[in-house]
Amino acid sequence: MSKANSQQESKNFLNPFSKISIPRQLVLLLILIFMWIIMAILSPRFLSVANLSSIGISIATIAILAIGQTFVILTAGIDLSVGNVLGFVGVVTALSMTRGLGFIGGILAGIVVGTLCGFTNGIVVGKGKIPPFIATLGMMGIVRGIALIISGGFPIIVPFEAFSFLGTGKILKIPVPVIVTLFLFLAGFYTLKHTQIGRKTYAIGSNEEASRLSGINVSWQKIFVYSLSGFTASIAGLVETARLFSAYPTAGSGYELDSIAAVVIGGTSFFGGEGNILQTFIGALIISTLRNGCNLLGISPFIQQVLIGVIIIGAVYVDRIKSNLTP
Amino acid sequence: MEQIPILSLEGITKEFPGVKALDSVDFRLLPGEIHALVGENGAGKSTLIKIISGAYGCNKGKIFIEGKEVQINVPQNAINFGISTIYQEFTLAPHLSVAENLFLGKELPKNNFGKIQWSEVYQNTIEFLNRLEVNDVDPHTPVNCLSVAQQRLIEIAKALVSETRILTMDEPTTCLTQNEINILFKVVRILKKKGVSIIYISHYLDEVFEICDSVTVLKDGKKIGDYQVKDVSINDLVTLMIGKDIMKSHKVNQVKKVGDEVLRVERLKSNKIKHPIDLTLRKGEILGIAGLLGSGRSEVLKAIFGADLILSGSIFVDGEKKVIRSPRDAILAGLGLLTEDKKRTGLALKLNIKENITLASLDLIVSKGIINHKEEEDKVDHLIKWLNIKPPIPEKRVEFLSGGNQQKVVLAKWLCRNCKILLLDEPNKGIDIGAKQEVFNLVRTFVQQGGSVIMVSSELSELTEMCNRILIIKEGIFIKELQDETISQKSIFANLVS
Repeated sequence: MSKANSQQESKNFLNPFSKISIPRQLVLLLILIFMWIIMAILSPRFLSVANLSSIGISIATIAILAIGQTFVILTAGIDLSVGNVLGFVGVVTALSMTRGLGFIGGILAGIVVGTLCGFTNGIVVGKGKIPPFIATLGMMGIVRGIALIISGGFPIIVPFEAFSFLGTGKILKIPVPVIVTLFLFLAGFYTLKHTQIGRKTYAIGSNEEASRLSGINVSWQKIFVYSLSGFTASIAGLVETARLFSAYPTAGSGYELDSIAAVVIGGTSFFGGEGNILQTFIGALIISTLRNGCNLLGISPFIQQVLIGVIIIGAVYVDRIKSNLTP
Repeated sequence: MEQIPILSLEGITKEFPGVKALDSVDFRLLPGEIHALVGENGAGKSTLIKIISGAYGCNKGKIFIEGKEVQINVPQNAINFGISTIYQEFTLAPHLSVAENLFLGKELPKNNFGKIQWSEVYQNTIEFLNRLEVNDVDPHTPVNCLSVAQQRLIEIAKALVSETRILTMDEPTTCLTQNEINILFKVVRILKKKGVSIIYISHYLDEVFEICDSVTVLKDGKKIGDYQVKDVSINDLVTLMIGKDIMKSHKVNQVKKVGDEVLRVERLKSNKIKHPIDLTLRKGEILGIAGLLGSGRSEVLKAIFGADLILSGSIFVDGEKKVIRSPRDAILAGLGLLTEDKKRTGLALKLNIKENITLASLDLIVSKGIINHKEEEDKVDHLIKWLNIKPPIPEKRVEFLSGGNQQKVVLAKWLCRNCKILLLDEPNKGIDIGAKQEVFNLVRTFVQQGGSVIMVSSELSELTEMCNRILIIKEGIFIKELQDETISQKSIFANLVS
């Protein structure tokens, strides 16, 4: 018996969550607060308004991408195209503005084109039954190529001064990108928790066939989530372009991986059906705190990459042992 | 005389957060016996098997093999002690051949350059299969091309390759026809003769009486007792398992007077049914479809429900022609389908009871796309009470429920939708005898309240117990219709095998 017990205990040692089940959000929040306390002690500049704003701005684009990504991953899919769609939207917006579509016209053109990219992903995945990884990998190349073609490979400067407000402006001392991010997160949270579309997103992620046999139009639901991901990528593209005040055709490279990392660190299951947007928000904050903290402490960006990689695997590992212990 | 048990468990206790799955259970398996493990769903049979096979560790208790205390902490331990387990779900690699599956993880004969001597592997495979008197399987065939029954035999042969001394079988006859079951039993008896001890889990008590020597009864995680099969009757066992005498509730469907036609299917063809089918269903009627596995019985239901690709034909509901091209169309026409495999196609396991119950009725509880949580909870609470779903917690994840309660959740999903016509495909598959009666009573209530049912079942006793009318299907064609007084297990069986 004693041996059986020690066996059990050694399992508990590996898994701090086995005895009491703490909600995932709380664990993540505690980790985040812990990181903030450590950073505040190590670097007095960390808690300054200027630094917190910079954390907010630096995470805004990734966090916005992660909203759409959360929906997609909840359906057991993945969207690899978001980073390059972001760059593409910037180019389309800036180009439309310089070619006489005007300020509003440029913004609308960007949003429409970006959402259409997502819509196309949705059609290919939902109707064409192409695996999401392949479909969005293809889209990733296509939009990057088009962005380079139509821009000729050069950055395009935005012709409207006012546009920079979206990237660098402040309302009540809060950076506009942060406000946009918060607003989109609230909308995403509400949609997942309280709407039919949100419920269907979880349902098809948990069991696609059972959902179909319960009368849910699985194809359209997928088209919706990929379109949404295209839409959030467009907003992120606008914010990024506004911040730099120019559109770089290669902007957003690798952002898709950061957005996936935020979702995964947040604990949304890669197999679909479980997770939520609040967790993604905290996941995004953890990544940006880590980046910012490393910068403040003068730790090389190369090491940051290693750290983030370790955290991603660690987060999923914790999930794994947790799910092993539930009956 | 007292034989030393080959496997003996003492005081096994296993707790999951909030549930005591096993409460100091003792178990003794004698050499060369077939020992049945019976009990309702949730009694702890599967948990016990998982402890024996090393899939779970136990919180308390001792395991002895041939009188020596051992530790089984991981599946590899169990395999080293010669314990093999055949789970309900298949564990073969579907695209590999019979031979490759049989020797998966084993040392294969190689020549000096390390090249595998396949001819020898195939020869060995045939030898092992012959030892089980299985002669009709080609070792080159990929296992996904075999029948379900053949796949089971391969799993048993695999256990033989591993020099198994203790074999546990969890519901091995699920999905098998009577003929295939007979072959399976023959193989099990051969194994027994070779000195293998077998732990046999089954819902079907007649199987226990046919093949087992002794039986251990579990209830609510506790051991009720162990008995020699020859000393007890089916009725005794049932009483021990559920603590009340359920045999009395067997009654033929009471609603004799059926009403007007509610469903008429004309010349319906799908990509899965070769011959067009016709059928009618009346209000208050339970129509049974009897057929062997692979006869197209499930495909008929799926075609009516629009779940397969519909090629031609028409469907009338209450005399009105309905275009049913998808499950969505069928649901809007008032139909509901309870599929054969609830875990794979009936439930969203990661979602909770509430979300599963309202899955097909979301449009009824939303306004402008926003869920009315109050209305949803009211509906769900009512159904949980009515169907006696346990635990009665709407937020409980469905994957943690027992088979019987999962089935009730699927039923609740359709009752929530207020559907008029229920299509039931093997409604009692994988649920215990107590839950089975509950499900049947619910179906009867549904019919008494004016609903109609088409039910597919491979258990003849269920069909005779429930149905007003029975259609016999063979190779996708209805060959015979049986009415009230002509319905008997004998008449169905005679038509099935004719």
